[in-house]
Amino acid sequence: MIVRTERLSRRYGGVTAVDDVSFAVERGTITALIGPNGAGKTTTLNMISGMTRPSAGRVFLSDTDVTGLRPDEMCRHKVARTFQMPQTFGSMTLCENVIVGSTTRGDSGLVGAALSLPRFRSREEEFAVEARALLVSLGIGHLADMRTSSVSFGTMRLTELARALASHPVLVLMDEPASGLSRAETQALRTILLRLKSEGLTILLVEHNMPLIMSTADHIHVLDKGRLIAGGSPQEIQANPLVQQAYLGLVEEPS
Amino acid sequence: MADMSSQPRKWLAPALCGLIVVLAPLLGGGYPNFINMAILVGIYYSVCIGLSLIFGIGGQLSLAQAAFYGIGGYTSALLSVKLGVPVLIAMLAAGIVSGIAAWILATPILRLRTVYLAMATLAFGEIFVTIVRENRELTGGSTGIVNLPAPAIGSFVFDTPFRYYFLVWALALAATWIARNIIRSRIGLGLRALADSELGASSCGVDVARYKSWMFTIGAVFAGIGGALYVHYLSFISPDSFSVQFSILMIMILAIGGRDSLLGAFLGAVIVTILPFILSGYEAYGPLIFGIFFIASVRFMPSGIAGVLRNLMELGKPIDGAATQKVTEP
Repeated sequence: MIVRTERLSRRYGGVTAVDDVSFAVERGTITALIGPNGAGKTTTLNMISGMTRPSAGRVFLSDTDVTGLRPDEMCRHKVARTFQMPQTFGSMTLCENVIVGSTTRGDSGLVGAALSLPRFRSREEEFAVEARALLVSLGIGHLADMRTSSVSFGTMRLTELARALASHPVLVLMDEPASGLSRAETQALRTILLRLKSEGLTILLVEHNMPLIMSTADHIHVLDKGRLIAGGSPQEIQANPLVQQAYLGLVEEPS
Repeated sequence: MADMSSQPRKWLAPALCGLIVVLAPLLGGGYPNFINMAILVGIYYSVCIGLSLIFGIGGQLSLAQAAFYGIGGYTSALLSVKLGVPVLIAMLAAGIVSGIAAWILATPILRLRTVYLAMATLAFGEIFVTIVRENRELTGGSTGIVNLPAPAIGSFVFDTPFRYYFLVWALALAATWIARNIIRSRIGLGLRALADSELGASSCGVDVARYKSWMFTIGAVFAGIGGALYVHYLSFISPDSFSVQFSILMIMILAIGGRDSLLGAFLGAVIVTILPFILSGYEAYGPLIFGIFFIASVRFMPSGIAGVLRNLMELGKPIDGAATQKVTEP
């Protein structure tokens, strides 16, 4: 077990977005969090990564209580994440984006930077080399010096993933990584996810793309209206009547 | 920062800057106001370097720069006049005291964003001026303090504009070097990152509050030393020099010259210093012309004159990205 939530809840005024959710993500797996729109998937992800404080409940990272830590502190605990709307830095190149991802590694003291100490500088050059290698490994190495605001949406998503990987995380949280991607790009993403898993990374995925989930996830947790309604292997989830009801019920609702 | 420039190139830019500073008085020395203008440019530029870190690159609009400039000025003036501290040491203390003030102020104030941050820093500037005006025994109130001593190293006194010019520009070059190092480091990238997306930056491990406090503090140190240089140059200090108008002038320098580069701060400082001299005889129209210049800069060149120069230089380069980008898009 790498991350575990314990009776996690988040209320916004009278609305309970996440209600008493307890689940665990096993080390070295791809775990998916699915559910209809408004089920509380992103809020759950935000509470794990420190963007949102839980109203109640706790988050444990390998038995360390990390409830309520800030996002940058979670990054120091080797939890990285990507966003549904890529939060790339548009004015910077792809390579620079990825270098920022390495912030928590090595000495980032102000004095070393201000005086440009040689030891400090050589570390910085290493990070730049590594950033380029990461972009190459995701197939966008040739775009490394492009401004991020000028590349395609799919490339932004990959840049954000490369940036997350630059922190050398043990757990990556991904919020709808396939949304807005073409069929071929989704295919490439599938290959990347499976490769990262084979390299020992743990991935927690919020996703709507069922074929992608069924072909990558080891374990699936289903949220509906803020509550955890099911958990199991992809086959078990597909066969679960509660899950079918949650999804079908959504379809039948007039929009 | 990714380019690993060869050894000789690394020294080219600093050597060139040093050379220009040394040669400038010889070339422009014939013009009577040149040295005085060059001193003013150096001081404005140093203050703007600090502002370009927090505002230009970090995107946080601060109008407190005049107050830090003033805190530096008064620290140095009071230490040297009332306690007889050597002026250069008093100037150093000016930077430190301004920095400490900024560090204390940073925690509550930098949580605010955009207009709210501007309002809070504006208020801080007003409070500072009021405190100075009302503490007549200590600061001399609105009349200020006269006969400030000139800085000296041993028996060498910086008492002529020509000598003072070198003191100002030596410090300006030091500030340039420090700011350039920070901008090129991962901290500089983190700062640019938080201007683009605070959410993205913090998820990358950038401690947003700490980065902002750091830059605010460094900016205040530069402003504090700049203020000290200014008052000892005039040999006189009064609260009028440190009103919010000065903060706005600094913002204007960055808007005209270019807020996201040190070259921009320099070019802006030159223009803002020279313009009143060019306009002599038409002083009444000064604010109008400044205003038109300011609006035109913001409207037509968001990265200022430095940005225009940068774009002109990039016109010569081939645009390789447009052709290769198609590859990832099936």
